[in-house]
Amino acid sequence: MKKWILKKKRIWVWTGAALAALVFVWSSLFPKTAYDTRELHVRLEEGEQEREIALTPDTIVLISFFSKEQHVEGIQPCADWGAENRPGGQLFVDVWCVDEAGEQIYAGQGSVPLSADMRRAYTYIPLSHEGELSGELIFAIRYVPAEGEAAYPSLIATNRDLNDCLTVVNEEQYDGDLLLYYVCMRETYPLLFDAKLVCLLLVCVALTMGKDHGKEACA
Amino acid sequence: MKGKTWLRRFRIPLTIVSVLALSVLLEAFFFNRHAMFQERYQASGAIEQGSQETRLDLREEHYIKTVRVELAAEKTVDYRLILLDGQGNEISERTGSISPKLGVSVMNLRAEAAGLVLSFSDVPAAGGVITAKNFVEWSPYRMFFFISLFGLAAFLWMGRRIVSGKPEYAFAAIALTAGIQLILMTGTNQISYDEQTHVSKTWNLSFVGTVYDTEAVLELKTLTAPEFHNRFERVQAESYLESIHDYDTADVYRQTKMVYYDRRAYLPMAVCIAAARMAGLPFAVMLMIGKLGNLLMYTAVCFFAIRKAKQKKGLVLVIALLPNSIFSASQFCYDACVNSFLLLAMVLTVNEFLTPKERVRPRDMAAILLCLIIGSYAKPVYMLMGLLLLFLGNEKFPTKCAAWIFRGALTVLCLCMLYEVLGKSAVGGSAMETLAHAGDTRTEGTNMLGQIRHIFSAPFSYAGMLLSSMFVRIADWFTGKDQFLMYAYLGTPGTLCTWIFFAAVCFSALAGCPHERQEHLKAGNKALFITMVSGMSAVVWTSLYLSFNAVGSRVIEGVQNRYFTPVLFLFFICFMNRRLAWKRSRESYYMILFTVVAGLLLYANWKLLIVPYYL
Repeated sequence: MKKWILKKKRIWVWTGAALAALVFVWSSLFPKTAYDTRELHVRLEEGEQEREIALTPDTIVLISFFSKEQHVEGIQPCADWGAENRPGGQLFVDVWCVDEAGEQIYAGQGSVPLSADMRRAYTYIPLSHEGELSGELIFAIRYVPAEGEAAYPSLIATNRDLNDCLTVVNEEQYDGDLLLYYVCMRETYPLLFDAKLVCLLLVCVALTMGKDHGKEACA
Repeated sequence: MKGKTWLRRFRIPLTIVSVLALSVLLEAFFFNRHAMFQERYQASGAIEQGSQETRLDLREEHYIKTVRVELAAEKTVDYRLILLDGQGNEISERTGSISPKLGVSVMNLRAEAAGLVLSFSDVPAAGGVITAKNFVEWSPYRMFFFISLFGLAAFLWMGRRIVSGKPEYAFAAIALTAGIQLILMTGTNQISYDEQTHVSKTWNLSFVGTVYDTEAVLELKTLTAPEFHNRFERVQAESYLESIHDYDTADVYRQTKMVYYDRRAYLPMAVCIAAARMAGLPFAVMLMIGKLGNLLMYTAVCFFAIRKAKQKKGLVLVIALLPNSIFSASQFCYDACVNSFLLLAMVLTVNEFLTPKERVRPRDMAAILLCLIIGSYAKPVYMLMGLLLLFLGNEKFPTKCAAWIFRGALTVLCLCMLYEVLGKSAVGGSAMETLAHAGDTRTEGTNMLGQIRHIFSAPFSYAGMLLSSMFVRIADWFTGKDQFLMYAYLGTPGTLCTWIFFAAVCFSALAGCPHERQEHLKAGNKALFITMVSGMSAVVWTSLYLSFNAVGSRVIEGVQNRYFTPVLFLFFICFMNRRLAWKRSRESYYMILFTVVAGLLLYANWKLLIVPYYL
């Protein structure tokens, strides 16, 4: 048995390299590798309680993320307002996706209560859509303040510091930050990266094995 | 004769008893000598609400070991403590602060005074108590330091014959002793570079799918956890963090279940933290176990690097025991992964260059490439060191054709890793687009694309600046302007230690060890290694210039000495020669190295941890 394995070691390594190459090609053909990248500046005026934040074609990366059949589990908006002056109220988030014709092909919603003893609050909106989901992703963010709360959040979205998050930061009214971001679960990106490295590594190792490899060990 | 046999039979238990007895005696009669041989003393006074100054009259001069100030402060309160002599004259002054999270500040005074004046920066909103005392106090940390110090010395001396034949065991003993001291004594203090970022990534990685951030974790992630300055404050800090480490009120959020390549260096720490969490250990212990995971990984990989080295095991040992590396391995930091795996990769690579006529074994090649990849996960730029393998002779491969295909595949592998520097950016899109947005947000005016354009607009002037920066930095290490040996924010053990360390490295590189195989590096290989070291250094400087410095900056800032650790072995191996050899025994050769590196590490721990925190 040991002899047989030693004899075939070279074949195993080449087979492994070929399999890794296949995974790499498959992952490349069906990529799930987008990073949402652009900055989005949105400001709610005082007294304004509702605002649709549409991720325009400028934020193409977000949209392209939903362009193929994928393993996105969901989106996760979050409110984060730092340590000081935490507001009360409730944050409602609707999300939907429209195709090129403007027709709605997916919708989901979530809400999160904001309270003074919480630093952050998250809501989770599962995306159970299967199959191709391409088009424009739109968020509607509605902040309902607590009774007696006079200020409304000023929202600036940025994701420069958070790899896969859309961040909405409170700029003026509160001492801390008010963040609103979503997390997309990308499952195949590391696979793509690992597959090409494993493939190249095994090719390099296989090239150090001559046709006679294993024979001396068997002898 | 009979007595000698008896001593030999019981030498291990006798040594253990001696080590313990010596440590206890030191603790009792040296560190507590004032309380043992002079009077034991305690005096307290009330701090009045609204009173900015409090006086504690001790009537006559007493030796005061510690002063404890308790105050229910709402925000951090700074205070000055003035020591008075018998005539009421000021002897000296100390400063401290009280964190509202702890409500107490303890100062190791170790001075004589007849009175104390405590004055606050702000009028305290609540009352409190000041206590001055001199009592016998057993410090478990100080005792652990001495037990481990004497224990290590005894191990190296008694096992000198064995460990000089297998120096990797001595390495493991020294690294674990110094590392565990560091872990135990730093506790929950965040004293390493960007530790909040490393803690954050480690903590998140210790969960699969759903992350629970307790308030204690959030304080560590935002660098707002209370810092302690001695073991009395440490108790308060740890109990405070424990009190807010509640999973019922934790932030709960989801993350991807995949482990991204740039987070994999944190896996040993994350696994240990997850295990400690599942075992229900206290928060502070859980953090220390996380750090222990890092140290164990570093020790294990370097252990194999020393074992696998065909030549210059002593050099590998000294570089693996670089105080900066042991410090990083004992904190939340990815440097341990980078340094250890790249050291092992370079040792295996040099082994191949030392045996140009022998065919490279597939498992060795797999090990080299795997170590290079793992070592470069956190810093992909080091993958360029793998290009050394391009220069292995055709004789190392089964056929000439295989050798050339190997070189092609290796080049693609290195480029793939390097591409991740650009490809993984949060900006996405094309490489040019990525470059246009990349740059460290901590420095104003950074822009990678702009900086590249700037370099190409004046390449010679940039080359001049790069070379002068590199040479000035090396000169500064030896003149003391810049400290090579650093324990991050704890400081440096001193310029003398840097000299001693480099003397030990040069000794191990220049002098051949008796009983070691005498393969030799060709001059061409040495030139290749020096070129690689210079090239890597230039890449490190340039990458910092691109990412951390404002466009057009006339100086290169942000380059830390730890970035050069992965190239140290490659540089110093070039000093190996056949002329210089240690004429005395192998035992004495290794005992010199063990003594110097262990001495440096333990001295650094003494100076930077015991003296400021536990004396």
